[in-house]
Formats: sequence, structure tokens, C-alpha cells
Amino acid sequence: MEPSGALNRGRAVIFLLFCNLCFRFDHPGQRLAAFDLISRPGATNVARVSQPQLSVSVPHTNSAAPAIVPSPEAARPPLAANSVPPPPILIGGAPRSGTTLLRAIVNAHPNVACGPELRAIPAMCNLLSNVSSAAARTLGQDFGVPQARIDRAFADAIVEFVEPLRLHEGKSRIAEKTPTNVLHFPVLRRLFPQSPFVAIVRDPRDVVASLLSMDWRDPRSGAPLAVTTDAAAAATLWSNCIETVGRMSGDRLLHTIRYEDLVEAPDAVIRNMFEFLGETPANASFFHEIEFDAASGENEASNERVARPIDAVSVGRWRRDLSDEDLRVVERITGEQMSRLGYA
Amino acid sequence: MPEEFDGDGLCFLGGAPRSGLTLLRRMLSAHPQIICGADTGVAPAIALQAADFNATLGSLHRKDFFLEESQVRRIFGRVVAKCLKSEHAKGAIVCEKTSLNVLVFETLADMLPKAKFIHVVRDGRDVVSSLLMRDWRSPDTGLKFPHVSDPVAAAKYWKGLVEIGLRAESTLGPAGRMIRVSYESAVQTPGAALGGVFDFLGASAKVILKDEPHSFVWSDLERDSLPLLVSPITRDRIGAARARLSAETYADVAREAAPALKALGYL
Repeated sequence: MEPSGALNRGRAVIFLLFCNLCFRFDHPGQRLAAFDLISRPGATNVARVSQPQLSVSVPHTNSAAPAIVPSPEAARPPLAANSVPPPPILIGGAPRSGTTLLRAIVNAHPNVACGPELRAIPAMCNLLSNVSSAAARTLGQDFGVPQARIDRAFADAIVEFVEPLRLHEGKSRIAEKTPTNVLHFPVLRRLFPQSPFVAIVRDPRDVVASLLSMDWRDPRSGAPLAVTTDAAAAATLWSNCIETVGRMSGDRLLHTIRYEDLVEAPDAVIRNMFEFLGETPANASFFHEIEFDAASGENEASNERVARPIDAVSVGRWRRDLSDEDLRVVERITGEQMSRLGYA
Repeated sequence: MPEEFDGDGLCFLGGAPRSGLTLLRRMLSAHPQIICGADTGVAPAIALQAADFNATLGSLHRKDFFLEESQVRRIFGRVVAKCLKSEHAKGAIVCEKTSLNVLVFETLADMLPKAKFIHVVRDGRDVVSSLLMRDWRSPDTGLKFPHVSDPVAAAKYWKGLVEIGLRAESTLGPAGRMIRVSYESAVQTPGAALGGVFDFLGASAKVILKDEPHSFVWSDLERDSLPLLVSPITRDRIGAARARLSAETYADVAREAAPALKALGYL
């Protein structure tokens, strides 16, 4: 029996729940006003602490000794398997913004495990939203199950998805990086009020140039994804990601990183991030060379790139890779946000 | 002891629409131990998501996250259980009656190893005649769905759902996890029908049942059944297709639905 045979009045909502199978990319429709997203390191009160062992240059060989190592007490003992797991760290950003690099850096810390993309959280958030809109009233009224319990059910499931990796790695904390987590940060905040979120942003022109070079396809139809063939679709995705993060600009547990700062001044950015996460600051930019497994993570397009030393080669690639026409499209869709972020 | 959320105390009713699920809700809810709410759609939505995860992300989850498919199903099973069983439902038997649960009976059985299932059936000819009276329309086109506007399409729709339900019966029935209840038995011999259901659910049959249909809050999805639900249970709808459908349409429907009618004992 075809699913289409199961449609009927009122049950169309249920059918829409059946169709909630989107897990790769989200395309939310709302547009919100642009906002001031982040402040650059020089403009904030985050000081660049000068320490004798800190080096701002990135070595180019794996044999170079790290300039800073975490102190012995930085590594916490792993939690016992039956302990209540700490709230997950959630990482997101428009695809091709440096999320894989970020996850490699986070995973390099002795206390935090961050595997490849789970790709489950955006779908779970969509499912939660659909279940809530279609059934919350009945669940509350007839079954005595309030929205908070529905939320808890989904939050518990997300933790159950990532917990085996944390236990396998023997680390005390878990982070999850799927780029489009960022589109669901507001819902995820409701599910995880104490979770640190890390968002990464990048020049939309470089993001779109990178997306248009990808060969990503719909797993069911085999058709190329629109964001890899259409500059407008790619730019819209970036814009929606930025808008979503902007809605959380007052969230004290959201830390936003600029890709350009990360690759041009990694030590300070990485230290700031780990301070935000409550971990002993460390220069982990060296660690990711040693610990990153380029073979991990199906379809993580940047794996091989990330396994190499951090560099700023990709900054401004749009000048080389983006056609004039596509550039106009990107500027038309993202111009105001680009200006606010200082990219134009 | 912490709750396992393995489906213990949970029962999913499912079957073709217009087969008497809402009537059963009314009857089951008369039991003080049973909570039977309106359609939520939660179970099929989550079950299908679980199946999709395993189909499209299974190898990734296994390799990089040490998650087997069975674990993923159980994770989603716990979501379903937590969405349906409140903290105050200890000791209660919670029933959920979305008709299209029938599509995912077997998946739900894997997700919730202790859940039970009731396949609700009705003579397909009467189901078709009831479907053809519905004004169910596609939200995209505004047109009536084929299975509420074309008798043969309606018969195919009914037959397809029954076949799925029968397949689930063949695996879950012998394991004691599933029974079949017919609309006809529920209205003709409600005491016996309910007794069998209570026995299956593990609910005490020695209770005073209060059939107070007016005290229910019926959901929008149940509105089509409202006139029947606020009246005494009637047998008048059994065989209603003969009067409602023309002889030719009746024959067409019977021909299309014949295999499933025979399998259910209606022919």
C-alpha cells in the first residue's frame, strides 16, 4: 500500500509526520532581521594573554612539539557508565563553515569526545516539532503527558545516541557536530538548557563557493542537492543559519567563532572556546594533527583537509571560485548580514 | 525500580479507518485501569523515523557511534513510551488508537518489546461505504482523496491495510502480543468482546464499567464518528453497505476486497 493511499482529512498531519524524513539539510522558511552576531577577538574583553610558551605560529610538520600542553590535572577521570551524563556540547554552522575542523579541535581535548556527524539531531528536532504541533494537545489532555515530558523524551534520546561514543572514548564529556544543528539551536536550548552551544560562521561567499564545489546527492533520488548547484539555495541556507543564531544572541551558553579567526589566529580562538566550555585552556591546534582520524565519519567532506595543519588558504576563495553572477546572487541574499558581520 | 519504557502497559490499536477504533476507545475508556486517548499519530511518525534512520544512517551509526540498529529502535521506542505514558500512569494500561498504527505494528513491536497490539477490523464493504461518506481532502490540492471518492480505490486502500495487519498478526499473534477485534463483535456482543480485550491487556474484568460517552472530549479526528459516539451502541451499521452502495458498486467493491474479506472470514 502506498503511503499516499493513507491520506485523509485531518490525518494529513499524520502523513506529514510520516514524511518527516529530512535529515541532511533543513530549509526553514522564515526570514528574520539580521543582527550583530559576534565580536571579533580584538574588540571584545577576551584578552590575548601573553604567555611565554604560547606561539601564534602553526608548525607545518607533525614532528613539531606542541607549544602548550594541557596541565596533567586538565584531564578529568571519565564518568562511570551508569552516571548521569553531562549535557552534550552541540556544534553547528552553515555547511562548509569549518565545522569539521572545529570538531577535530574539540575532540583533541582529553575531556571531550566529538565524533563525526551523527546527522540525527536535526531530524529529531523536526520530528519533535511535528509531534508537538500535531499531538501535544491530545497527549496533554488525554494521556496526561505535558510538553515538558515530550521534550524530555527527545532530549533523552539524543543523549542515548551520543553516549556510547563518549563511553567508548573514555572521556567525561560529549560534543556532537552536525552542521545543521545550528538551525535547531532554539529548540535544542529548550531540550538542553545547560548545554554549551558553539556556532561557527564564515564569509557567505566562501561558504557558497565551497558548497557549489560539492557533489552531495539526495540519498533517495540520487539528485544533486540544490545547495550544491544553486547559489541562491546555498546563500539562503547560510542566511537561515545566521538568522537562527542571531535569535539566540542573548544566550550566555552560545559561543560563536569566525572561521577566518580560527584559521588565522587559532591559538587565541581555541583557548577562548575551551575557556567557554569550562575546560582548561589548551593549544589544541597541534593535537588535531595527531589525533584526527581522517577515515572516520562517512561523507564528512573535509576529513582529509582537516587532518592537515590549520591554514588560511581557503579564506577568500570566493575571489577565485565564485562567478560574477553567483557573487551577485550571494550578495543580494546575504548582503545585510554580511555587512553586520563585517564581511563586506 | 526505574521504568524501563519497554512498552509494558502500552497497547496500540490499529486498522483501516472507519473500522471502529473510536468506538473501541469509548468502550475501553470505561475501564478505570485503562487510558485510551484520541489519535496522536505519534507511534507511526516515530516508528517511520526509526526505520529511516536505520536504512539511511545505519552503517554510519554502527561504525562511528557504536549504535546497532536494535539499539536505535529501542531509543525511539523509549521516546514513544515516554510520550504516551505520563508519570502518573503507573499501573494503568495506556492504549493509543491511531488507525495507521497498523502500518508499523511490527516495527513498534521491535521498538517496544513488551507492548501489545490490537488489530481492529470490519467488513471491508461497510468500511468502503463509510469512507465514501467522508469529506477528506488533500491539503495541497483541495481535492477529495481517492479512497474517499472512488469505491474501488477505497476497497484497495482497505485491503492494503488489512493485509499489513494480517502480516503483523502472523508474527505477533503467536507470541501472545496481538489479537484481532472486529467491529461486528464489539457491537453485537460487547461484553464478550471487551472481556477478551481486558483479558489480553491484563486488565481486571471484574469492574463496573461506566459508559459515559458524553464525558469524553473527542478530538477533531474523531468528529466524523461523533453522532455514533454520543448514542447508545448500535448494530445498525453492520451490513450498511448494501443499502448505501448501488448493486454494481457493491459488486465492484466486493470483488476488489475479496481476498481480504475471505482472510477475515467475511466471505
